[in-house]
Amino acid sequence: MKPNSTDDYDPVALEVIRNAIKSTAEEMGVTLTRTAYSTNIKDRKDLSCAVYSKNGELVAQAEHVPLHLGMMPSAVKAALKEVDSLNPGDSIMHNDPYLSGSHLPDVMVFTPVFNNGERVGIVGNLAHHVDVGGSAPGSTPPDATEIFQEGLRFPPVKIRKDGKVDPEIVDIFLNNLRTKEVSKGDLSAQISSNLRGKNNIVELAKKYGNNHLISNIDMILDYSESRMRNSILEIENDVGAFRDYIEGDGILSESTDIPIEVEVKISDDEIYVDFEGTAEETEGPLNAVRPLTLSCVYFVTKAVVDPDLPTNDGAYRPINVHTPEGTVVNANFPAPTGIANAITSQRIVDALLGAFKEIVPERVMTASAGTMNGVTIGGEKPESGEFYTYVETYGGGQGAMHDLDGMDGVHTNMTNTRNAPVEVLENTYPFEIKQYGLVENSAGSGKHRGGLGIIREILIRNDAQVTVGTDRNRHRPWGSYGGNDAQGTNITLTHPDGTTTSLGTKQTLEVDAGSTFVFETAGGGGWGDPLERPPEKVLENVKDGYISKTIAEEEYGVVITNSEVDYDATKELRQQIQE
Amino acid sequence: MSYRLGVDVGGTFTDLILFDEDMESMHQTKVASTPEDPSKGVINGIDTLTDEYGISGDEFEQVIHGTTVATNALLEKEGVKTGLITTAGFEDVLQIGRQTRPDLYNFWEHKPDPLVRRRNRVGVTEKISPKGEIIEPIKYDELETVVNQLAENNVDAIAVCLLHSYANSEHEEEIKSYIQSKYPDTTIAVSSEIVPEYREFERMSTTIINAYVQPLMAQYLRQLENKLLNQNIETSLQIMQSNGGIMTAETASEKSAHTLLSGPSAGVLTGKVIGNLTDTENLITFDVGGTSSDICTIHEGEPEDSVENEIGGYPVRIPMLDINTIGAGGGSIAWVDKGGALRVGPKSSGAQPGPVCYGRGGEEPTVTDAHLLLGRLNSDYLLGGELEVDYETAERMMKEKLADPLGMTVEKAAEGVFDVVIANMARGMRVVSVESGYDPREFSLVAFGGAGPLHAYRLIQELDMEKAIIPVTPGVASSLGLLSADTRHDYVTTIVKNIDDLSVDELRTAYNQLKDEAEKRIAAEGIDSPQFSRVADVKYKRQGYELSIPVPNAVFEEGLSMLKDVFAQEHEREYDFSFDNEPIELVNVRLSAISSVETPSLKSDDPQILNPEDAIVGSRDVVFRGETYKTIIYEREKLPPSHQLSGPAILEELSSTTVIGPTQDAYVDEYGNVHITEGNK
Repeated sequence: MKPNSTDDYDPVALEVIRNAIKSTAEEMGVTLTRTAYSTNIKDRKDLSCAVYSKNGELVAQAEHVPLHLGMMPSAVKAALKEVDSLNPGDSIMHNDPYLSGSHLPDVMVFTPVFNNGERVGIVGNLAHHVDVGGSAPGSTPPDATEIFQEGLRFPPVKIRKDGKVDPEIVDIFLNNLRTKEVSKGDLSAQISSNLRGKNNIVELAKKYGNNHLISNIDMILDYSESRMRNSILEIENDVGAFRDYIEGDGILSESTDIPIEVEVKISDDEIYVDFEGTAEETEGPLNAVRPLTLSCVYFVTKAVVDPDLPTNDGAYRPINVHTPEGTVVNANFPAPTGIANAITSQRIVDALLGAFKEIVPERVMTASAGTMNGVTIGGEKPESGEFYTYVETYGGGQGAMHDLDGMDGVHTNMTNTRNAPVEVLENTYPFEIKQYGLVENSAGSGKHRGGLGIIREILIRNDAQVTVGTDRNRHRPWGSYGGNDAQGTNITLTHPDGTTTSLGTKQTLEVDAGSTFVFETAGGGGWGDPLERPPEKVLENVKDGYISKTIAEEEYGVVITNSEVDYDATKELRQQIQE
Repeated sequence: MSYRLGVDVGGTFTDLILFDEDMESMHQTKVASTPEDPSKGVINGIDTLTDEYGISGDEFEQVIHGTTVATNALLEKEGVKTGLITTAGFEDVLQIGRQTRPDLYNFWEHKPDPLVRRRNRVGVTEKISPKGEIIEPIKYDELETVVNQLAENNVDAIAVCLLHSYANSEHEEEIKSYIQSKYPDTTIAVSSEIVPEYREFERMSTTIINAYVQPLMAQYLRQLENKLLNQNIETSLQIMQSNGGIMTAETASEKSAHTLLSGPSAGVLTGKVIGNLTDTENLITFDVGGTSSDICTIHEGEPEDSVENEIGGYPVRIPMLDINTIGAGGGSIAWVDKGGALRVGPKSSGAQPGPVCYGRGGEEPTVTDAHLLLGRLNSDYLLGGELEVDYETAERMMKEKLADPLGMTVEKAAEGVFDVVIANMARGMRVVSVESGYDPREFSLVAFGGAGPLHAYRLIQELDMEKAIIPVTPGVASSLGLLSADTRHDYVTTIVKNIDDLSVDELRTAYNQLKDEAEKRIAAEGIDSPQFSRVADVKYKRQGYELSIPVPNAVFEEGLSMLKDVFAQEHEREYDFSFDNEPIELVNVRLSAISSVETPSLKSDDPQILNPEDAIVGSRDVVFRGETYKTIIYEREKLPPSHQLSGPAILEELSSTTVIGPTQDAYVDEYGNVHITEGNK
């Protein structure tokens, strides 16, 4: 069972140092969250912090958002290639999607850790800035056709030299942003977080000695690899394949289907994932750069194979991923990437879960809401004229499992960012929130039902620009084994004159003061035949208003009279439906 | 003679501690807890004490009680059927919460079910602006309908939480009076009374928890008071709160959510008592039980507290001692994971079957078994002879389950278990120290609970701490804290405002209002001359997290720029940086009313003349870092005050075993506490 790459393998030192490194990543996360300025980072925790080996292999990651799983390893390795020498007191910043796999608003800062003049490791973090310039507030315009419309792109540069932050680089960065003051605070928080991490690793090096620390870091990677291989061995060799779709790319109409196709093969202690058959790069910003696709593969593999596995480069060694060049899962410069994080990633996950479902159905769930439902509203506050940008992503329903209902109103798969409290929104923006709740009847029916979607209703008190980046309107979250598909995403706008229009899933539009924006996110797919759901559970769901009496009858075949199940009528109705 | 009694009811044992009025002589006892009705165990314990020491009920001057009634009701979902009235359109806020899932990768790991079912969450049309202006009055026809609906659904308690009620509580008060007039027997919890702070989900959750546990708490305390009366104990019953203060049983019957950390708080106060006795200002308290350890920081004599708490997955926005509970204790099970790493916990062998060496059928090696195999625990008997030790089975299981799979000797495996649990504990201590901006090197460790003194010597090495203090009778020491608790009440109000736009008068008025409220409560409890302490939650305007900073008197004379300086210093300390000329925002003002009690003295009034030689009971082989040392075993009670000894050494006593490492020295102070230091310090 033990890794064979090292002779002086010591399971105890391994666990002790691994603990200390993991704590370091988490402490960095705490510092970053508590000192940042933007809602994205401080409240929604759209960030990750990591500790790397001296060569940039990921050793431990404080995970808030699975989206960053594949990016954190790629971003630092790519940056190390671009920078010629790293000295004590340096920190590197970049936000290049073609190096990191993310989109432009995700800014990364890395700091090498030296002890006695020797590099023993690297610490780094990634944080989603609220704006990095470009054609629309929030820097993810759904109609971008080149990266240049999405904002400022920094190559890896030394933002800190000899322990001093370079004010010129900071000025260039801040001058290009809509929300300069906020990003100033966020950048300070990112640098401070790395210093906290650096100090911890230096202490470890002093305590254990550089060589011992470095060799133990190698062993931590070997440990994760060995554990991942042993976990894969528990699954029988098999192949599964699945195809799922995205609706339009922001430029192409929403009736265009953009396929994501994947085949998963379990072969002894390795996994092969092949995206052959996936759509070409799109003109609009749906393009995932390879590290983003890797994040999705690592997420699903970890969830299906070994959810508690410590995340690092070692764990990823047994996973082989083929992403055909120039496709929407492996895009190149200058393809726009703005909403791949929010949409493409979630669809890649659904496709992967579909493929794994053919191999280990008892370890997966049906399709969840299937997009992060990104909303950006920007404009001037009517009282002060101050410019504001509101960015939030909305959760939806979780897919059902073979033995459990999906969760209602929650972020699933590649994200887990918090919502903004209603009281914070009304204190901060010129909004009146009319409703925030669950969408009744939005779940896919099944023996185990999916989760319900979320409704957010916002009265906007100024003339504003609204951007939405979402999906799953036509291709609704799928159910399985006889479970129904969930209700899809629906967005409407009620104008000040009372008329209502239905909005597309990827668009930017100008709205008049007094308009009401209503966003209903998708539910999760059902699992198993709804006729097999115990009538008592259906009754409880009706009493709680999660489903209507009509759905109880039409989809579950359960007749409810005077708040009780009518068992005779139910039996008869279920037979009728079956026939 | 009159006596003060402390009673701490835990899951397995009820600990009682008794002091005479001079706070000098101390008696302790331990009886089995009676979970179906905890007051039975309390009375059993009192009977034991009164019989043993010939005390009658009317000699009790004060009874202070640490209780888990509210905690268990919440964790085991056994509270009363609760309804929620909120602003129409926001009935699901409770269920959505912050829209996050508890585990990123495990699809099966779900949020706990909301404490109020959806059918009992009802909305009323009304609107208050963030500034507190009434935009739309309550629609009374809707209120009537929903209140009747809750009554038809037979709810026992109703929580009321409307949007922006922190800015204006009028609507919540109206709804409360309406319910009281129609259903006077229903328990009502109102968010603006319980936690008038902004962020609706957390406020709602806290309010609901109070409604959910309150009727049970009130009933329990009524029963207990009656039983005490039957024992002729007429003195008022005091309840330990989560903030480390006490309140009357009457107040606890209303503000029941304030008792969720009642038990663990007592342990922290024990640390504070020991700190006072030994002139140690900075302490980390470490209370180790069978399945878990409670860790808390005491800085400059005051325990750290926090308002961002979660219990059983439910947010509770009430000031509580900042206790970090980790799944590492004497019964924690050691195992080999799929990657071949040695892991310890969080699974525990529990009270049954317990560690392998207890011989009750346990087959999974635990931390206790490791200590036994390393020679640190007596291999013949434990708990003063109540428990015979099964050494052979412990050794065999360590070999089969750990040593063989890992390819190492039994001794190496046992030491590995110890090293890993130490790493887990050290990590738990870093959370309360380093993550809060404190350097553990400036702190001393106070270790108690049955298993605390086994680990203390190594933790101070691991974190480079000054010393470890092992209190007298560490196995029952946590109840000691009950007798040193001050009466404490906390008040808060939200004022979201840029400090530059705030006037000294405004701040003074806000504090005065809180003070009025506090004085009313205190007068009702019959307490004289409390001390008031003022704190403000402040942040850089654009940040999302406030720092709580003290508000000195001088602020009211010298102006608010002083407050800004205090904030900048605190930010610098906590995060290593601060900004010049960035707008600073006030969020909450907090006031605590505290009435202090005399701290118990543990000094023996009749010091026996002890000869240290008499304390030696023998010697045995003990393993430290791979080396075996012939180690002297002492009977701790027989060690005289001021005695010094060098490690390695083992001190045995009824409730615990203390280990002193080979490079360390130990010193017994005048109260009987043992201080462990590194030899070079």
